[in-house]
Amino acid sequence: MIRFPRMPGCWEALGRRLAEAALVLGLAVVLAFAMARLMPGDPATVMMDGQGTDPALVRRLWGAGELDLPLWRQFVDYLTGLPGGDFGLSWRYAGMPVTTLIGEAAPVTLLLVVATLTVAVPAGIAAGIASAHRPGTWLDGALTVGAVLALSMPPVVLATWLMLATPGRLVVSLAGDWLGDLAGLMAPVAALAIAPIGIVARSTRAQLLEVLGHDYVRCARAKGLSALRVMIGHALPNAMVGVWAVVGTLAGAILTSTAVVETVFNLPGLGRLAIEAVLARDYPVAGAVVLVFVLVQVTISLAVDLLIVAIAPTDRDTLDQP
Amino acid sequence: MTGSRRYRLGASPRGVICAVLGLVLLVLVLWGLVLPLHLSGFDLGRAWAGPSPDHPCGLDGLGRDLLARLLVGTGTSLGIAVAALGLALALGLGFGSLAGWCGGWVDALIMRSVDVLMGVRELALAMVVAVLIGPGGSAIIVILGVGCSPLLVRLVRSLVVVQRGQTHVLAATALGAPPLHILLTHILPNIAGPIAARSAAIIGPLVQAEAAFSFLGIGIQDPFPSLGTLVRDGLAGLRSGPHLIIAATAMIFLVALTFTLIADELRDALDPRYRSRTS
Repeated sequence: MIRFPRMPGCWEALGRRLAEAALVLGLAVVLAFAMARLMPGDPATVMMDGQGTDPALVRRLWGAGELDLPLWRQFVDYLTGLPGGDFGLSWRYAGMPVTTLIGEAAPVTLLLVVATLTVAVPAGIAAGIASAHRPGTWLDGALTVGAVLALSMPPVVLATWLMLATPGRLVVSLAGDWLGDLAGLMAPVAALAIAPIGIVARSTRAQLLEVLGHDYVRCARAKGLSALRVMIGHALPNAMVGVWAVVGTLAGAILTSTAVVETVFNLPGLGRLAIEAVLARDYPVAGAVVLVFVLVQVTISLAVDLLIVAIAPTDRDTLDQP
Repeated sequence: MTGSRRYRLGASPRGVICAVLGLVLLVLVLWGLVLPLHLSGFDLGRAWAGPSPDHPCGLDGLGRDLLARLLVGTGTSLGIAVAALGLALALGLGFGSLAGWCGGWVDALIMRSVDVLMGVRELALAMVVAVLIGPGGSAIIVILGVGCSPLLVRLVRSLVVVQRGQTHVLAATALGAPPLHILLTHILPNIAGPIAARSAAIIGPLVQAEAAFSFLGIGIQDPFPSLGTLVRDGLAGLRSGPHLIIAATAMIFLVALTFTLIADELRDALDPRYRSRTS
């Protein structure tokens, strides 16, 4: 059971965080709308890409949509549509609601990100503990070198190496057969997880070594507790405060990596949808995806802040840290 | 853990590896700059040809010399990373010292803006910038530079706040020195070490990010090579000429590894607190 501390400063800081999150979201909404409506080029031209632009047809397409309305009416319409998940229509796939496109792509990316974090965080923490248990030994040395190699391995490198190593066998299909999906996801998740494992392992090791020097750890050892209990029961909880902060920043970086991995493995995910929308000037989709990304990021950082306050009330000041 | 332990480059094997890798990278980039390479020479008849005496790394899908494209591409990627770091440093030093020196509402305004920027992650920022100014070299510099500037603004601000309370700064203020003079001559030399260490740590991730965004098509555009576009070309010809993608990804790995090691080495050299903690 997580108990939240009864400290006024803490709630004040959290309240400010919430206000900030609302501000970021508000800015993102304006940006998403502006991306769709204020950019040069118009939907009719994008829709008829490569098929010439017959002025009469362009006129009809404009009239059929709401694009003849004044800008403020369009913005009001956009805002009122948002709570119901209505982002308007895609320009590239004429007549297709943006929500449908995002709804089809989001589960793939969500699966990738969640699977990556589920693999990377425990593996990284375990490696960090093994490393910090006896610093300076060959195991610590090997893990430290491994962590450096891992975090120098961008997803684009490992993904293509996996493709090369298993020619023809890495056919990834997400066809609803969950066992097949799981096997197909192994390569993309491996490519995504390797760098985060290195980052989490290094951070865990550094935090643990700092914590292990404290008096209360020496006291726990003097009481005769086993090395494992001192490490897991006493040192790790305090070290985790710093590690969670790192994991919070990782989640955002993983989102960029998913775009790369989805492109390499040909997965129909949100990252690929985003990039293709930008390159094809399908601004309503691009704006909506930006909105989704910002929402996810804001939620993750709020969750990490709450987690840090919950596990380490004295560290509530970290919320106020510059 | 004696406080006065001096740093020596050759003290650890990592330092030696680091120096060797850094030197190799420097030579490769300079080679790409100096040699009269045939960047745009086509030999379509020999497209996807493997390594041969006159083309040590083979040819790409359009029959262009891969070694030339690889060397120039590495230089381009590194140049973009350095330019982005320059932009981030300018933003970080400017806004960071402004926030740290002025305090009050200026500080609050700048730091809340930084929080907002931190909330908008790389990919979302990249999409917005790519839509606003179009994909290309300048877009990628803005994306990467603005994207990593919050880290530097926060670092500079916290360092300046500490320095502002030091006696030598108070003395300079009491003597009537103008703020800019104090910042440049009394504060900056004292905080340059940690800033340099953090900047070095940012370069590696920046090169990786450049490769990722160019691979996705938001960065450097054809026909100019960068590490990311080389991987994209290589992926298209994965079956016909795997040497292209192997060479490009190996180069990305080499660059990333080199900068990770250099960053660790610099951190130990410039930030003694870290050394005593981890040894």
